[in-house]
Amino acid sequence: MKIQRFKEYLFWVVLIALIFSSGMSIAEETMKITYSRGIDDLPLYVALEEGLWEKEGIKVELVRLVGEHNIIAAALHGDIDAGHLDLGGAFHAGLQNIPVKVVAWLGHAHKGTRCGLHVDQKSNIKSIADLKGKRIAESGTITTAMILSETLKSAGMDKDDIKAIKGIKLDDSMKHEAALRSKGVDVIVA
Amino acid sequence: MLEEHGASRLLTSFNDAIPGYVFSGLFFTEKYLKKNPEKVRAFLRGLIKAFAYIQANETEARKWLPKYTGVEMTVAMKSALREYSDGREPEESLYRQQAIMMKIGYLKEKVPIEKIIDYNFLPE
Repeated sequence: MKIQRFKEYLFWVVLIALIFSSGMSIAEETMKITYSRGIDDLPLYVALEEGLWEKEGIKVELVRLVGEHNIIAAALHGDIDAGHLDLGGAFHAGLQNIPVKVVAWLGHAHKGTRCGLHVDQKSNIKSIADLKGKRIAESGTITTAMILSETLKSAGMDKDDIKAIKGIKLDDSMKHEAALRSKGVDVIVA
Repeated sequence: MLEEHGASRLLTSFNDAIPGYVFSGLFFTEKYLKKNPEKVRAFLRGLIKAFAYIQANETEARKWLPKYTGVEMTVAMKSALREYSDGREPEESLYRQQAIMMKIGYLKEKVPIEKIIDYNFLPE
């Protein structure tokens, strides 16, 4: 009888120890952070590769996930711990009362920024005014829409003055090159 | 990055169109922030140190780009990087971008930035 009780006691001790040990490992779980596979996320690559997070006592894994809806859904579901979001996506999340908060921005454009409207080296497009009637390829994201809108506005034009071709990916420079060289488009926003 | 292949020339940049354009940020769920404040602080300390590392060791930092972005090393060494702040961006920049979003019909109404941002976990 005593042996039976001792076995039961031992069973509960082992079970409780297992629960506590698994709880401790949850606290030490690797943080999963999404990244965009772009140059914008350089600080994430550097922090990981140079061991800057490790020195802060945390383990981080970068997870490739695209689409702000997917990223937010994954965070709300607990599949990732943090995600990247552009300002437009953040405002939309706020408008819909989605319980997420941006805790840091990953930099901004400056005078040396080379993202913008690109034309073929030999193109006769020399100024923004020359964009009238031209085929402009863009990703269709809020970023390119805003940049294009403000650029056209500076020359007294709007989106109806150009032929927008949407869907090109900002990070696919090889396709951009091919599109420009084949004269498939006149301008690429990238 | 296009220019680095010699295929194109830049007609006008994002910064010409919207000076100081803020591209993207990192978010956590409010639930996660409440449950793991110290973990988030540690994460952001590491991130801000990465900003400083890039500024002080730009060539070394650029070497990580091919691994994560797939670009060639020659392109990685020449591409223009973002300008890093302390993780915060001026309110006026954020509201200026919001006004453009509303103007082009992307955003229906104004959203106070306090509703989307929490800088409390950043180092001072």
